[in-house]
Amino acid sequence: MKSSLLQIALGIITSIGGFLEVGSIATAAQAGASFRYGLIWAIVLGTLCLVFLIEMSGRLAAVSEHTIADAVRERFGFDFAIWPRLAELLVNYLVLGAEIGGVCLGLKVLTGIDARWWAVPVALILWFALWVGTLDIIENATSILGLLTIAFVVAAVKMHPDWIPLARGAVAPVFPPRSESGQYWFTAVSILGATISPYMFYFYSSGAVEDGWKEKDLPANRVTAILGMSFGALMSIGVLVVSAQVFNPRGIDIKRYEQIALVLTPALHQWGWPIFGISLAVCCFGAAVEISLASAYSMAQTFGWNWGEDEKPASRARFSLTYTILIFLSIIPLLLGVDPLKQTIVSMALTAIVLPLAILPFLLLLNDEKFVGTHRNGPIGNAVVTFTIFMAAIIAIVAVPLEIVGGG
Amino acid sequence: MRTAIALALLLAACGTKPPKAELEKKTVDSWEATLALARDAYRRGDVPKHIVRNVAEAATEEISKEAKGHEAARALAAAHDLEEQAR
Repeated sequence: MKSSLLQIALGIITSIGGFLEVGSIATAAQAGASFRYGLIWAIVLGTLCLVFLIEMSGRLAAVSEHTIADAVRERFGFDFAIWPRLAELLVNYLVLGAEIGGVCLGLKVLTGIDARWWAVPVALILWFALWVGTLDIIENATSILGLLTIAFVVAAVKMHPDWIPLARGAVAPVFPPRSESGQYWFTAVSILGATISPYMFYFYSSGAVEDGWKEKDLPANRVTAILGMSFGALMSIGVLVVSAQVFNPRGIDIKRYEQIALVLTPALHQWGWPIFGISLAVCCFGAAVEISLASAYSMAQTFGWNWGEDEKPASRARFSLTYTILIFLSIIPLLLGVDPLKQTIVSMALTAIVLPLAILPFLLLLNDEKFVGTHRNGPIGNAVVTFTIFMAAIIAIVAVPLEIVGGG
Repeated sequence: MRTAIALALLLAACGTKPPKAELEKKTVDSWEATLALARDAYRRGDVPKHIVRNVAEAATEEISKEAKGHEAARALAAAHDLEEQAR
């Protein structure tokens, strides 16, 4: 077991590198280009909810030695657990395809070779890394490379943003003209979907159980959740702000990744495009690892199969088979020519639709003495989860009508 | 449930789409500005040829799909010029 300090440091690095992925980059860039600082509040709100939910996932794992999916199955039974897991698997399939698409687009930026040519090699590398690698090696490599995303914050500061409107945008919605309100709210829903991703809870709690967290790790878990997610959100806000500085004054609406590739150039000049390409490829690869594993974790834990990334594939065959099938099926849309940005935006909105199913069990499990003993939720924790469930339910209902009017 | 459906319809109604001509103009203006950004960066030596070609190809695809008329033709010509410069 790692020391607490090392655990916190790795958790923070993981969050900085892992928070940004294809969805958060695309939605933040679109938000900044179309609405300047008017949607920063959505990142702040999503992160606040995420901090609480991640902390609860880690607390449940450390105290009960159960992952979220395990605990849901034990507490509510298989018949209740299976439907949300299948819905999440479907959404994960689309999100994984979008993340692999993001890696391919990053490689296209770096090499000029069409993204579709990269789909099969990237899927093979991803599968091979999961098959032979351990969780620590994969996570640490992508996370340390992912630190390059700090470049977005550096670029945002170099572009001299207007700090007062920026701060205003962080605390409350800045309403656009009526003709743009559909797009505004659809983008807000997509940002929330990209920020509060259910796969993160399954990945985090499964990683905590694999790492053997105990009650003594609770303070480290709390610090990791707060600092890690906050630093991650800062990177996401960096993307939004630099996009607001570069694209918004020029009247550029983001419709394609080829446009976003120019975002760092005005601030970082000849370093802008390679840093963007590497950041996109590395962040999306890290997220693809997390989604593949989270899907396999949640299926294995719901069906009661052997699981564990650090075990040999032969000893957890169905777990390995799940991520293998998912990875290779997920590249089909990209190979068929589906636009990765459109797939990203739709999958982020669909993520928002399954959110209530994913979050509802938190309220019950984290108040159940059988699982968390004396470490039950306090009134603030319960209030935040209740608010998140309520918000997620509204989002789930409005996501489809908003996509029709604002999804483009 | 009724309240939720009403809320969904209300939000959808709030966000009526702008007229088609306005959307087309916005698309063309947005891509012309993107092309200008890529051209300026290329002239300063900040981006390599393939980045410029990627932008010009994306502009051609999107403008052809989304817009018609004189302004669209002008933007398509600008995209073609930029693509040629980056060959």
